[in-house]
Amino acid sequence: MDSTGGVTPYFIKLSYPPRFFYRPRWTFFIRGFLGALVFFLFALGSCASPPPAVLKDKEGFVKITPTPETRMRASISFGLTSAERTPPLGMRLIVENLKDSPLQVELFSTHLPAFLFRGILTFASDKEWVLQIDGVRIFDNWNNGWLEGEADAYGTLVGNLESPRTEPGQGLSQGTRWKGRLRDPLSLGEVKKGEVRYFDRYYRREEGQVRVEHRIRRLKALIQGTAGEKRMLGDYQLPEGKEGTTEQDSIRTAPALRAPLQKPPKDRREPEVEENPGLYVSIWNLDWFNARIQAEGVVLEEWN
Amino acid sequence: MENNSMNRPSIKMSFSGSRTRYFFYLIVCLLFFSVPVGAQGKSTYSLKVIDKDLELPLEGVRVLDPSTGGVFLTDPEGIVKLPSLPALLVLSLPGYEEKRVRSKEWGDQNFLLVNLRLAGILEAEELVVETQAAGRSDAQPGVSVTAERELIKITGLSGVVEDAMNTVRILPGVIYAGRFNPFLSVRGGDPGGLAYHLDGALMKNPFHWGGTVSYFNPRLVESLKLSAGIFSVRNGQATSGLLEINTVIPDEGLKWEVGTSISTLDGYVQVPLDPENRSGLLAGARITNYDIVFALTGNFLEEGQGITFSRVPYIYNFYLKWFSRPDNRFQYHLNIFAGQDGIGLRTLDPDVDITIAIQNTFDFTWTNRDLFLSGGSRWLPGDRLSIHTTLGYEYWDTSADGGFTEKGTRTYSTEFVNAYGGLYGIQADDSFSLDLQSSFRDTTALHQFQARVDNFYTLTNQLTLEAGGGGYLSLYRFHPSGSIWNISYLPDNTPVYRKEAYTSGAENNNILVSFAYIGSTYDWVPDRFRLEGGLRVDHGYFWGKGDFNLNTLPVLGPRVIFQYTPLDGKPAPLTFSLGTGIFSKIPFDVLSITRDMGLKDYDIKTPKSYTTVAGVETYFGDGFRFKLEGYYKYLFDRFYSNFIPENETLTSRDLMLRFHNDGIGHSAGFDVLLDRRTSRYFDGMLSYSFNVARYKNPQTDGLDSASTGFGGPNDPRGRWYYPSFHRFHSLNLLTNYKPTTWLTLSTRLSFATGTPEPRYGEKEMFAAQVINQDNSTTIAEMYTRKSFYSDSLRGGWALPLDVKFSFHFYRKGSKVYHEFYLGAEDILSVWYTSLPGNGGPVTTDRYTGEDTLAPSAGFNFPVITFGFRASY
Repeated sequence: MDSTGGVTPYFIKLSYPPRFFYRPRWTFFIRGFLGALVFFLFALGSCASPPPAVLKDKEGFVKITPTPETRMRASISFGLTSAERTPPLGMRLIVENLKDSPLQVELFSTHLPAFLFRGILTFASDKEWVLQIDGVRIFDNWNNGWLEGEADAYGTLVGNLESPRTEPGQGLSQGTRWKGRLRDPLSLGEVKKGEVRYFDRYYRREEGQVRVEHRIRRLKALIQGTAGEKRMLGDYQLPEGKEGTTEQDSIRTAPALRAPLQKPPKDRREPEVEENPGLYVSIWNLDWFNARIQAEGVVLEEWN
Repeated sequence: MENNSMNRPSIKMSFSGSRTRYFFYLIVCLLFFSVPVGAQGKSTYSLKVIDKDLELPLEGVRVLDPSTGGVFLTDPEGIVKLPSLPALLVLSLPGYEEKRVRSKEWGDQNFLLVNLRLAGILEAEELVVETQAAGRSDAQPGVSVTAERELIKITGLSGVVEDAMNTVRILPGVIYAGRFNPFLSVRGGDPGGLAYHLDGALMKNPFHWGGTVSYFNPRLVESLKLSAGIFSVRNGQATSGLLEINTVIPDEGLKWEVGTSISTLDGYVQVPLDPENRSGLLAGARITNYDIVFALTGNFLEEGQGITFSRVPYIYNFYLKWFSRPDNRFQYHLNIFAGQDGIGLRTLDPDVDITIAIQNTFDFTWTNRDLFLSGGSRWLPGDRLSIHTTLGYEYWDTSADGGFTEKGTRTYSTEFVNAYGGLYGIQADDSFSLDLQSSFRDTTALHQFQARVDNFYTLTNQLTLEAGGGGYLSLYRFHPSGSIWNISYLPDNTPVYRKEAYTSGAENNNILVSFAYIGSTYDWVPDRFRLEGGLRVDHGYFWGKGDFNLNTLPVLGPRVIFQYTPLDGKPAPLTFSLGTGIFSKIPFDVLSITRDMGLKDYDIKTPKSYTTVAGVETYFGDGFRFKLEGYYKYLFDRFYSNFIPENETLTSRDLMLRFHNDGIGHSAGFDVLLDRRTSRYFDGMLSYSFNVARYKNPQTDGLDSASTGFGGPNDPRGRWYYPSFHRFHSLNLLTNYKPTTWLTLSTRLSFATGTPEPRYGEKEMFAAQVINQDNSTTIAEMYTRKSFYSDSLRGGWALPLDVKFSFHFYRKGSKVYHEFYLGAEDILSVWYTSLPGNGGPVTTDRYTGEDTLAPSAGFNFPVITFGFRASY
């Protein structure tokens, strides 16, 4: 982290020791020119070609990629993806300019298909970063419509350097492995915006917001009906948690551990589940997802 | 002892000192003022509002006390504390149904739990996306029925011709008119009595192909409302009904849709012009061309008929809409529609050898152009006043150009020689030759300007006043002309074959229709009794060629409708309605008025209908609605015309048009509607209309009623008759079955009894003196049958069945909707048209005397359709 508190993107942080400044000036200009040339070619290449993929795990369940809107203007993008047999997790880091810090991040998982969490990743040191989630984009569709929303979200993921850095300095570098742990579990807050299309009907603005909020609450209520069941999941079984005073508390500290779902159970025939299977799965899996990362963490490595 | 109303102690007391005295007065005051406080009983009232489905408290619910205007908001626990017990509270929260709570619901308690339900259960209720603005209201019992976007898409986006009028045809009150006839009779009224509004502006001619297809593209229609009951005095120039088309408002951000069907390629795009979607632009285009259709069905049409197209039927149109809402108090829009359509048709029977038979040919071209500009604004200068303005311009230019030829040589039959041989010196094996040509050319050009202002003032929460006015200026250029060979009859009923020329002297007639109205809507008892009424006045002013002008008598149009809702709920579970009113419309026929007719001011009366409607509407079960309405209409001052022959000879005559304004009619019946709004698995609609309509055109002008009618034997004079469009029964059943999320099976079954059929007299052979084009004369052997109106004869019934399979899906993570459909229209037509009595009318060949069954005028034949659409 530099003196301003931000993170200097590593790729231009040339590893020149202080003694560099005592070399003859002509070498400085040549090196500067070469460095600028490298940067120019790199920037040109990143604009001309699809940005490199970011972090993901080996199975490809979790990815971090640039957001579509920032891909246009981001000169560099990075990513982290979960590396081992852990909940697939991906994080996409967006860099709008070379001095952009902290980094915008999108975090997603195949186990949470309807959620695209957003947050700010800040490097505390060259061996640790902190990702603070502040929002989530919700999207799910079925054969006759879709649901989209923007909501507040919470959660903190801390990444600690696990493997030696391939390049000195802060920031990410190819091949670097990080161990991510949830300091605060991921959770949803108030829905800020929402739109729903149901056949040829559109619900927008306040009505859409209410319907998205209502749908999430309804799915949570349906899921809460089966939250009391305790199921085994391999070697993992969370202890009984205390009762929460709010709905979110009850989900974060679910007394039982559910097996993750890939799709809703066939015996779930409620319209809400049929219309938003991905959202149902995402809400169902969220507890398990948080529990797994809290208990075991996730190893993230860069993916190109 | 004194006794006064203030209840002060009346005993005489003495006070030993000032402190004691003041203490005493203090005690008295406390006791006095504690009396009324004690009489109040309870200190505060608490109301808790929760979501009915989730049973969770709702924060921010707006609680209005209409009597005081006080507004409260619920806290995070859904609770609001009220200082007193109100007679009525109105609870509202965006996205939830509004609820009214009356004082009696509290009982003796000071705490009440209220459930709010999400507005419009997704699978049951009609969508209400935005706050309703005055003038664009939902369906009302006794007034109107609406069709929202989903029904329009299901019924409109299918078939050979995608048309929003396909949706209108199945609404209750609409008499079945066949597949390609959008001139609809509503509750027995004349089709010309239906008015069309596009976003509040009147459209004179919203049709392509002379009325076969309407301008209303189903993709661009947000909703439509058919008002066949006692609709508001705001709207007029309609004697049978009002069809309001509301197009999509481009305030929803970026949206687009493209689609293609067997004959049409169209699409539209909406783009926002403002980051907050307060302004947007919608542009759409449509191309309809029948090259593929006729490549597939051409053999069917050509078989035995020899039809070719000099110009394959086409429709091109373009639509643009600009909408802007700079702030919550002002919005405006601009519509631009431009379209052109045409057809060139040529018929020729290639199997006819003109050396031994007479060959008929028909050549017809039709071209139509329309430009429609309209704009409107809505302004709320204050909290109580709303002002709407509408301006419009329509240019319509149409021309129909056609000709018939009859050419060939034919040998006289033995019967003819025996009958007429001695009179005309005709012998066996003699022949006659014909070379005749008929032609017509009708051109119409219209410039119509319109302007109106509507004002709405909310006097109280229960009473709204409205007043407004405006006018329509129509500048017509109407040039019909033609000369047509036709069989007609001399005064002694001798048939002759002669050329009849017609023209109109009313070439440049102009009409100014102005109107004004005042009305009110009064919630006599909120959510119980509602009264809407008003008075409208319409006036017409004509002026035309030859410096003549005419005024009509101003027409008063009072209307009132009363609605009673005995039970609470939204939508109201049960509503009774009763209304009556007078409606008027200046018909298109007045185009042909000329100075020579000798009409003076106030001779022309505007056709009117006096209508009474009574009905009941109820909602029940899981999204079901049932509606029953009975009605009676008395039609009077109806226009009709007679052709008066002049300059009559054996070989030619002129026909002069004479108008009359004293036609009358009665129409009564009832409509039934049972529907279920969009649902996950099954929804649909059943409508049934029963109607009895009898008209009378009293004036015969001394001519035989069998042949004086402009419309033929089905339009007689001097007697009561069923109009040509009349059917006793019209039934429509629309079902949508969705066994999976990606498949919808839609069926539409209609049933309609037949229209009036004429009675045909005996076949009659006669000798026609004919002058050919080269001025040679000949005696032609010809045959004819007289036709007479019949009260009892009816054409065949219709049973069209349309089936459509829709396959629809979204790709994972995508908001783009895809749909493929495959369908078939009128698949039972081959069967029901083959039944005895169900075919078309019998026609007699005028040269051979052979009787054949003509094709049904309803164009009943099966058609395969397919299409694709994608939308975002």
